[in-house]
Amino acid sequence: MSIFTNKSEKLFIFFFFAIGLVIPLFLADNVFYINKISSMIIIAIFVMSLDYLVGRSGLITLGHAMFYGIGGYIFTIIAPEYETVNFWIYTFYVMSISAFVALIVGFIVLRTSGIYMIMITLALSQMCFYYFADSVDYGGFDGLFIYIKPETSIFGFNFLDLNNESHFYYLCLLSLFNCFVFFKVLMKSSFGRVIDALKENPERATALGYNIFHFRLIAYVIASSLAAYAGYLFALQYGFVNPSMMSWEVSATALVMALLGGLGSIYGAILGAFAYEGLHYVLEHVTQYWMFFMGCLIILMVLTLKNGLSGLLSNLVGDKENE
Amino acid sequence: MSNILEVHNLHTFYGDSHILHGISFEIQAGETVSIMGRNGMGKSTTLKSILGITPPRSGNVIYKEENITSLPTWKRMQKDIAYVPEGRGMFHNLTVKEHLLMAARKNTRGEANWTYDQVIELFPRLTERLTNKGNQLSGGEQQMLAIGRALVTNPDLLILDEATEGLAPLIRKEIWQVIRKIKDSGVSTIIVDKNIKVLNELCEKHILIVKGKVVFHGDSAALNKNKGFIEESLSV
Repeated sequence: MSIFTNKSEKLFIFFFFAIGLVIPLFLADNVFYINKISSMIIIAIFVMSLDYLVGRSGLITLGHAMFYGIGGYIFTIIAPEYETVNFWIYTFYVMSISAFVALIVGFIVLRTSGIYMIMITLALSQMCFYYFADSVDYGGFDGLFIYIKPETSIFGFNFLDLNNESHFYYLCLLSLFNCFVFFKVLMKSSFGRVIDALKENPERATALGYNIFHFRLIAYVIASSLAAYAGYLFALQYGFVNPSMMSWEVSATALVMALLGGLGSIYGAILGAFAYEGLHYVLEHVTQYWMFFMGCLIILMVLTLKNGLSGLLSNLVGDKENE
Repeated sequence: MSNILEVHNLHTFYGDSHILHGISFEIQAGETVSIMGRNGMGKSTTLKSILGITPPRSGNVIYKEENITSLPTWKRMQKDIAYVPEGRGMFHNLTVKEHLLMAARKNTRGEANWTYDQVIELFPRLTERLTNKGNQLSGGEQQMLAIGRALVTNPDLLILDEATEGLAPLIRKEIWQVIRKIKDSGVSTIIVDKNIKVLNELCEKHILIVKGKVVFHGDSAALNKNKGFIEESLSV
């Protein structure tokens, strides 16, 4: 069974990752652009996790950045300051701890829905933001620094050097690919079908014998731990974490990117993140009023594009409605 | 034969409106029972109260000798109860195939008497629509899918609310034939409908609800004896 929903998705993923694989070969001398694309990929992972929550599960949150920040903080707090640690082991730690935090947070926030859920997620993320901002132990607004990047050896074989920008780029690209495949497999699974049904008609899904709270909690934990993974990658790329990572603006911007890409399509998260970040980069080099033009363009795109950029691509490729 | 369902003195409210005034009846295992009544008399509310969708303020629902009154809806349904709601309740984002796969499960005894393939065989019309979404089906196809989706949960008790409402005569006939097959398979069934003739032929027991109260409860012989009264109660 194919993991792809339609032709446009298949084409986009093929071209995106094909180009993605060769880009560092052409930009070998231009570290800035490799870093820029790496950061866009990290944002795409974060937006993808939010898209699964909002677009597939129907859980609208304004606090998703809390997990993005938590992912970075968990690593900087638990990893020894001047020792090289293993990337994969700490990935497991970061995702497990953030999943546990998401389980507790989800247990609270999923008792609400709609506007109340938006408010409670916003309130919790702001609480978290101010906790870290006011904490002397965690560096306040300046945050914490990562002095030594982890090594990536598996059974003694070290194939990626995270101090090398191209290597880090490939790690991000691999992570994005894994996230995409993971979400697509999840969507095609029995669990994914129930999640889709819950979004469409929760009462009906309950009447089929499904406990909507349990299913939503699992979706929340999965999406939150992947957001934390994106935050962990961000921390490794820039070598620091600070509370601004978990501000509500980060959540809202990610929501705009998900909308721009086309809610619920998953690959639209990649489109949305790259379109937003690309526009941001271009406009800020053209005019000092870039935010104004950016806002206008986003409003125009959201109003004119049904199902965002993924919908536009779908129309261009000529996907059938059922696909 | 033991009772699969006992409903005792249900009182259900919508806000301050008292809808069900002490509804009581029981259904034996393997029995097919009709619930009749005009629109707004409390038929659907009775079903929703049994299922916990609209929990009653007082009264008890005993299913397979267990009091399930305080259980949430999803837990009741996991005890092998299936519900085909009025309006069908399609998921517009799922295809026909996904509807059936998503709902399929073995019953509590681990039996899967109704599988995906058997349901498709029962409704050959759905075979041509497997990749259509829930909202890309005709009313009749939606009803077939709603029944099929209920069957793949392998229920011991099937509850059908207005199974043939708004359907073309030919489709209705097809639906009634399927319900007959379900009855023959031994599944206890509650059918809410207004077609006395078919219900009389199909069901062993009949319940008439008027203004939230059971005003008639009897077998087909009793129904025939009181036909005038029942028809009068059903007429607008």
